[in-house]
Amino acid sequence: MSDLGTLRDRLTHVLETRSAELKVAGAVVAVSVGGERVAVAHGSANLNTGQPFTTDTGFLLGSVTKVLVTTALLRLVERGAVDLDAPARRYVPEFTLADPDAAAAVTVRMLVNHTNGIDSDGLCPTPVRGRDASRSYTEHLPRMGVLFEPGTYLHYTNPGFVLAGRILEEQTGLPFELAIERELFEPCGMADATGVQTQAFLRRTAIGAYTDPETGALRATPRFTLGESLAGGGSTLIVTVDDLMAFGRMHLSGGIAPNGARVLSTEWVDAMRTPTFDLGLPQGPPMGLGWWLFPVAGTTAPWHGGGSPNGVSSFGILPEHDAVIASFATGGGRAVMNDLLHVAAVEELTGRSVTAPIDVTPTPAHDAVAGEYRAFQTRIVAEKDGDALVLTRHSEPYDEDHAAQSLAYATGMTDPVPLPYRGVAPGQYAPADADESALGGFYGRMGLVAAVPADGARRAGLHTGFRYYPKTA
Amino acid sequence: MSLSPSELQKEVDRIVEKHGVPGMVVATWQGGVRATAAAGVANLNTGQPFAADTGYLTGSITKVWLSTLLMTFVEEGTLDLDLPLVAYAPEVQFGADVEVAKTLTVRHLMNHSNGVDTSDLFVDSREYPDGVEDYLPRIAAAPKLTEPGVVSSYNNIGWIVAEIVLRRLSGRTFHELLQERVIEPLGLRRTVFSPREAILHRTAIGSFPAAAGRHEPTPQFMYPSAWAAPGTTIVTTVDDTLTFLRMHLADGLVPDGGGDARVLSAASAQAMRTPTSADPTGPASGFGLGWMYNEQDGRRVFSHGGGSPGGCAYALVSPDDDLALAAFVNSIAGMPPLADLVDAVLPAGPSPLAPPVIGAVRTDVDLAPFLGRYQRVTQRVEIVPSPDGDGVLVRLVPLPDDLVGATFPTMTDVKEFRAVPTAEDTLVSHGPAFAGSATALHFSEPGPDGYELVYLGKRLARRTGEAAAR
Repeated sequence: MSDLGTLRDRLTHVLETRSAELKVAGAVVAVSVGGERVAVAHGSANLNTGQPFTTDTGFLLGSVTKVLVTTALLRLVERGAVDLDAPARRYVPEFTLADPDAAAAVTVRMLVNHTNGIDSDGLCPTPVRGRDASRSYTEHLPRMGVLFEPGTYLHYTNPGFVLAGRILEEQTGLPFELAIERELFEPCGMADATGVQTQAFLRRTAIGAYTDPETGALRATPRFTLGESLAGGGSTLIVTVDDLMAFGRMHLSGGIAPNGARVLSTEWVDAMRTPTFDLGLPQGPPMGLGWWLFPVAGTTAPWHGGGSPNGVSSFGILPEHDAVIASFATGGGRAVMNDLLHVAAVEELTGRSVTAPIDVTPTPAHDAVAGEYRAFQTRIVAEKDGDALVLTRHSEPYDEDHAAQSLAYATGMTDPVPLPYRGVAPGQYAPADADESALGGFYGRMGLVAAVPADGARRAGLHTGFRYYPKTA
Repeated sequence: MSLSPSELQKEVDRIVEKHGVPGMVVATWQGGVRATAAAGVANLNTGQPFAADTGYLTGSITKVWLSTLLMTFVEEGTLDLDLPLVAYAPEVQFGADVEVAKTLTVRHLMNHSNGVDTSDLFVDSREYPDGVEDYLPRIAAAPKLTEPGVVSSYNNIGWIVAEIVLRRLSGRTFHELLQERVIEPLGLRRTVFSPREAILHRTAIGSFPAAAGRHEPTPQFMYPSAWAAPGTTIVTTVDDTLTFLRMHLADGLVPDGGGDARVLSAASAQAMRTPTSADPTGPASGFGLGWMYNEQDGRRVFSHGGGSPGGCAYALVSPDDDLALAAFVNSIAGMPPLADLVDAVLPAGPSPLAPPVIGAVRTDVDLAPFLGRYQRVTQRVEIVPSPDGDGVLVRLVPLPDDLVGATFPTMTDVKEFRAVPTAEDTLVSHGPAFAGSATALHFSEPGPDGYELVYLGKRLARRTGEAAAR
């Protein structure tokens, strides 16, 4: 493993040489190895005000929150307040689904390992803020179905984590924004982290940026955050890279924060990194509790990504190398930049190359893959074009509120655009313009599309971005 | 004579330096010309300087915006300012006295003459908009300070009730309606209702004086959002506010609208500037509808201040001078710098921010009628003879209902200051009292135990019948 100076140089080099071409407005990355840490920031934290991105700039954590929520939930399990294998309904009084039997079958464990199957992925009501915000999400669930029998498959679950957040609220008697401070930020010594969004004003906080589709210019996001109702899934927390270093080090040490506080038992820290479900697909690595367990460069990296309006975060640990890696970027190329930074860090730390998770073999698109697929409000139309596959994502907003959110989340990317894919293995497709090295990164892997067969009652479908889209036509 | 833009900038620089506040931003309309100036640091944590377009919490100036909105409903005939509130919101009881509550009107809310003892009350509520409803049970138990329609005593909660009336008759919230009927017609781009929108642009944060002439940044950005109508949520710029003020100077016309686009009818704009209720000091000051007025030698100016955690905003129009001013200082001690600013900008009186004139101390005035304990829901006023025999000692004891105020460095502090009589019914503080400036206490309703009412900080408190602690 090379020393941190080399790592810092490499990360700086990536930021300085690739930001303009990738259209990244601002970014930050930090790596902690043993007792040392490097952090590099680049560009602008806010294109409206010109504030530079600094290593102490806060940013929206996005779905990395799910690992924090899992950690906090397991503290309650450890205290005996919550039973992981009990029905979630026991702890969330208002929880039900369109199919009450399916709701009864959802256990607390399934909330945090993406196996509950609840079909409400992009839902994020905005009107209610503050203490009742999470409930304003759960009150929509009686209208929602499940994509498969709970516990039997894997589909990225924002609703599961909203419910986990509700358990935190019910058990602590505090609204989520305060519960997470008490149960996670304070014990871990995450000194600049906040769940209270108005506090973001008080210090340096980044806002997202997107690429104007007409002019190609970088612009500030028109909206700062998604609705507070999705707090448990990750719409509200704001952290700095050093907060994430403290959180990561706590996990690496088996549950003791850098400040010496015992946050979680070693038993539960290990359980989070132990596979609980395996899709058996390269784009969906084994799932622990909270953590996705990515095989990379000869080791396993528990990892999570995060999205916010026009911003992307990435956070992982390398237990075998005593390392924590965290990054955040804004602008059109924000996901790719996160991958480049993490890949650079992983390669420096492990001394090995990061490669695509499959042996890329050009494979013609299978006829049977053409058709329509749907989960919640996302409809994917798949058409063959010679050997290639063309996928067009349509978003049919649930309501006006949802439509406005979609617009804000990825501004400039809202029209359904047909994207070409090429077959890279039987039943596996990659974006036609992605080269193999791009497939090695965490987001790059998530972008692979798998055609998955039917299995009993579960329909054939596509699996991509950790999400299952059953075939509807 | 108007201040040119560079003169305004010099004045702002001088004021910030003199008072030692972190910074200030100002926009003026004088002699048909708009000028802006900014100085100092807008955020003590990040070091971001004030710019002409730095946003800030406008605080209670919101009441003038909300009044403007209410007048649009009066114009379309859906709101009558003199019908009882219960005609619009039968389930709302404003004040414990049921019979009085049935006579209260929206006018009583807009000119602070409702007499209900609720000003500055915070309830442990949900966020806006639902949290507004959480105030209803509490206000139905509020005691009476005065009969309605007699005198103005600043009452924030009256505006929460006004929004509830607006919701009942329109089915929509004040934020939505203001956006539609005022903000969009004026073409304002930087007036927003939530920190989540304001964070996209430069925004100031407040600060509190700490030891040794420094300021500490506020630990909390804003007051609870359920107080949106009295004024805790709107973030705006001096430019946007100036456009709003110019609309009022133009009696409702959209400024630079190039035509007859209006936000308000001339009659509505003028009605807002017509005195409808005086404060206890007499007819020279009081309220129109929303606007505070000050009158001197036949001249009237209309204004409103706005408080936020560690910040003071201010807005003023002088129709006689075709003058408007919008300003913000990011310190809780922002009133003295704002008073200096008004002095520099306003060509002639009255200045609503002029500190009380101490004039001659009246040694012949009997102190006994002043002494005792007075109270309103969130403050107790204790007046005892000064130990050194010179005037009285005034103690202001905050009585916060919940801990929302306790987050701030100064909010639970007991303020104590000496005061001396300048008239039979008036005491004036010696030295700084409120937020760095002198204050006057006006007394009224003489009774067997002394005066029944004291008026300070624009609010009345009533004698409680207990002897003050010595």
